[in-house]
Amino acid sequence: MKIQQNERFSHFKKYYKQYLLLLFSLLVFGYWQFGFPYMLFFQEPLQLFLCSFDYFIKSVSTAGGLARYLGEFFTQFYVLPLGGPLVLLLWLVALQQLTWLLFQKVSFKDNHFYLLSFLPSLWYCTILSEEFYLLSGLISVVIAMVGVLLYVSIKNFKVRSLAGILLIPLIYFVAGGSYILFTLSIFVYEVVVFRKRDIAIRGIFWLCLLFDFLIAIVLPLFYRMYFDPVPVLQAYITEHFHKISTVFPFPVVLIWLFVPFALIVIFWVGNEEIKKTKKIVLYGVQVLLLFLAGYGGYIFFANPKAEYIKKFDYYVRHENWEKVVSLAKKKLPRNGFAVNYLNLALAKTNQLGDRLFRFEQMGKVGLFLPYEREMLSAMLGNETYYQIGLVNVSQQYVFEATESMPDLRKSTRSLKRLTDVAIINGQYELANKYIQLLKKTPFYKNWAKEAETYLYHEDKINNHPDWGEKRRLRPLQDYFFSVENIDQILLALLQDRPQHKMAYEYLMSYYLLNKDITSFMEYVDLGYNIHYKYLPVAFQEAVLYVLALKSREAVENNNFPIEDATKDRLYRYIAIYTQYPNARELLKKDFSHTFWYYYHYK
Amino acid sequence: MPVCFSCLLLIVGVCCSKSDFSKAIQVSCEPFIYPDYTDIVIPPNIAPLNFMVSDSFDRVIATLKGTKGEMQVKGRRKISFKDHFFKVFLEENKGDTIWIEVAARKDGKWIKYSPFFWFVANEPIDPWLTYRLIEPGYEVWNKINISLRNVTNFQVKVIADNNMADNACMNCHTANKQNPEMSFFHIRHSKRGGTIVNERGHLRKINTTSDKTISAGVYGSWHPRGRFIAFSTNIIVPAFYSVPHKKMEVYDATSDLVILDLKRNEIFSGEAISQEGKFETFPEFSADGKRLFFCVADSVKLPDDYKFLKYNLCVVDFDTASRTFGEKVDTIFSADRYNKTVSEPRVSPDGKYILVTVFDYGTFPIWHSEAKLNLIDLKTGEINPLPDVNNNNKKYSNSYHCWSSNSRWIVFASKRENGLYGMPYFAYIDKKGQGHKSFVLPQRNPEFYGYFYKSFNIPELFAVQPNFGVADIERIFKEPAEKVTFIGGR
Repeated sequence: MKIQQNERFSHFKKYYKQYLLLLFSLLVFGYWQFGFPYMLFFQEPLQLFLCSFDYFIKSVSTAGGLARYLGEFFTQFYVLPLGGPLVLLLWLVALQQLTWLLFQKVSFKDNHFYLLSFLPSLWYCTILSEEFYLLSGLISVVIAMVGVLLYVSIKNFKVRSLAGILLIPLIYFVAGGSYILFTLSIFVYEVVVFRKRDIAIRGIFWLCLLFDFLIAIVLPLFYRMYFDPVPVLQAYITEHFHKISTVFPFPVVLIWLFVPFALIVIFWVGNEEIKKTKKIVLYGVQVLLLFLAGYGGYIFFANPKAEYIKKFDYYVRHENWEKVVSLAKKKLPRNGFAVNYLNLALAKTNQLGDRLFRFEQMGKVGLFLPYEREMLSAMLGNETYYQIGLVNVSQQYVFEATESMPDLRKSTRSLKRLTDVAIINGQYELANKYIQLLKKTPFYKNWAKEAETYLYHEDKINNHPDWGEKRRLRPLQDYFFSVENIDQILLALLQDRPQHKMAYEYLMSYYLLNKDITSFMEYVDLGYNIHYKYLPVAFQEAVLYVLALKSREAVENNNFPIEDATKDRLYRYIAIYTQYPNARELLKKDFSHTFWYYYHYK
Repeated sequence: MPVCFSCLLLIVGVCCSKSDFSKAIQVSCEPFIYPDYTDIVIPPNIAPLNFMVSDSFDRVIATLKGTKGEMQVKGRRKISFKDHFFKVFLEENKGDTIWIEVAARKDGKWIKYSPFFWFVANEPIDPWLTYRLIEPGYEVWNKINISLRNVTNFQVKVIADNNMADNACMNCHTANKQNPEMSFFHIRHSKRGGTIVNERGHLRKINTTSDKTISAGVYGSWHPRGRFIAFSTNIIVPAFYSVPHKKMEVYDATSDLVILDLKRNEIFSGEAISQEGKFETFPEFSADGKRLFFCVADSVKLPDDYKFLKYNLCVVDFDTASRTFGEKVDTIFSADRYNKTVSEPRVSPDGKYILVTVFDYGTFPIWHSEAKLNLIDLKTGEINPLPDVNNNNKKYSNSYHCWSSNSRWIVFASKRENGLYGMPYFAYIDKKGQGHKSFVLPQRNPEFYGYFYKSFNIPELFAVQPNFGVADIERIFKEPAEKVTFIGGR
């Protein structure tokens, strides 16, 4: 038994690195695949990676451009199932392995800091949970680490000094801000490691280091003066870490500082004989640091609520309306974006009028998102306008969303929608301009090529399930759009298209959510053009409520297409509402999903 | 490096040797080239007019034949001239016609097209062109810069970038045609904004707001002597159409005109240019500075009656010494008479013509597909609709025009390519006031515009290179603005 245990222990001791790496890989993969897959699906179409020589040259011509280019290249694989988690795994493991190799360079091969080598990767894994942090930042750090390894591998002082002078600008242009990590690391390496080994340090040594630092300081200033006019801080940090270029990427800077700091610690601690008790403390500290990085990073950067909205967004983009409704059934949305998407899905599945009050509502925002000068509300808000046929508004929202993109770049998502609208509106030259760009993307070129075949073919477009439908739903009257007057817009749309069911149900829902029963009753008759057998349930409830305020006869003798069951429910509701002081609680169980309950208590 | 460059030229097949087309199929039409540089009048100092043929061809040869010499250029699909050869060839053929014969190969067979011509005018165009690059959006912008292009070659540089000015909006870089070393543009920023005035490289930032005027200066025009700038002050409202063929309408809820005195940092107005119940906008000084042209409309109920908002072009005397306006306002273009509206008057530097944009209604032409340039003869009042300049086959707007200092060339922004992205077009206006077919600003890569996703906004020609750069703008943006005093006026 004891022999078996010993064997197991020695097996673990021999292969513990592989096991830990496997565990880390499983953790990373699981985190993204099962924890935050929709954030990756959301991120991917918000960039535009072009597979062209011009784009490559343009990208790599900026500081950190290669890291950005590689980041965009790999981000496009997020569109594939398993693509995102595998890509992230690849780069995070690369960072860990490079960190470990570097740790080995300052200490002996089997030093006690293998656990610590996971820290930058684990931290970066959590950083990336915030949607604005970019994969290109991780790649930038990896490139800088490769540079450090290359540098420290050079034994000859003169060659190394020359390499430092060349590598600092090279890494700055290739990887951007992570050149700071490189510069600090080689400085630490020279001062702490090599200096210790080579006692005979001459003035030239300090001169070289001073020169390295001078290059590191002057380079970004030179860059902004002669290449790219950017603010000073942006010239040093570069814009490839965070989607908002002006944001200081402090979490990444911690990694830049961690690596050189860790080198000092490992050099001093790792090269000494360590007693067993000290070893336990050493490993304990590393486990604690990993825990703090993992848990702290999760708390700081991960946002499960946002993931829920992105899940909605994913299914809306793929027009999987049933799935959106079923998601809402499992977990009631309590967020404006999610409610907006839910109501859209209800409308697209002909359930809006029936099930409007089955879910938590948030007023008119739940139907139409107002335009705000930021990307998310505009990008997500365009969907409803597009589906209802207000394609110009959709175009406006998407165009403004593109302009509000934190990284000031175009996205495939917006280009596709702009193409949709241009084709629907018959602006074929414009559509073609967008299509030519999309044709250069690896994952959207087939869509673009297919769209191209529709240009100038009116019949083909009219028969397209989406574009043809939107053409038939578009407004005919000439008026200015304003979301503040959305009811007037919908009324005009109904004048143009009396059988526009979605417009009718959105209009009626708009009145009901605003508790505007006067306007509701004024226009509910427009539903006759839709040829309902019975009015949608929520509308029946609203009509009966108004009639009940007059008399029971009005309820019984009305000419609206209303079911008897609804009347019966009304009578039951009235009985409780009028007789019990605690009616709100009593009604909650059976009537919380009715217009009456919403009207009285919400 | 020069060796490598020469090798590259050989590889792409750009050379000046001759080819034999004896077996080519002759067709009786001109080739379809992009950009459309067929049958145009060009300045003798223009950058090479590189062009391309359709992607169904795999080889193209262009033979340029002038009275003085011949030049042949080959390419796969693109014809790219060597800068020096092109410049010399145009110079030698100045005042003469160059015929361009294009032959293209498809499926191994050469097709030879009917030649088209370039008439090389004697008068050069002003070599410097500034424009604002911006996404043609609605209300939001992100990257904006004002770029400077040398139109005699392909050199371009950014002279103002909003990235260096807290992402502020920048617009309306306007030259003083009689004093080409002077220009101004606006930086819109709640704290550090102002009008940047460039006086021969010396920059000033002036806050043109006052509590007695509607807004800061918007559309402006230099007085030829450089002491005054006339500005409109406007409350600008954007509105968005629902119908497919219209995008947006930008109108003024109210507007007036003011004059900025750069010498005294004072702002003044006058009864003639700020009348009760009228919207005045787009001021433009005459070439001698003694008159002020402007657009004016009767106020209507907005936004309900926006289609009835139509502007006349009027003119009033201006006395620089007393800083006063005449009492009599003359109408140059009557909105009632033509049932059209007019905007953006720009007087030719020789004072003979005024170039305006004419469209159906409103004040802001760039979203009006029917907007066309019209040339008004200031002596006769005759209106020339400039059909060749406007390219009447295309339905999209032509606006934001500007004259070259010799009054023979104009540049304007046109959305004719796709209805959304504005591109700078040049056109020749001959001595008789006739406009000739317009052509787009040449680019090194003729595919450039197909993959360029910004509008060239407010193109402005300069005879002298504007003497400031991004760093100067970054510096002055941080400095406090000079204040102005409103002194009324009559």
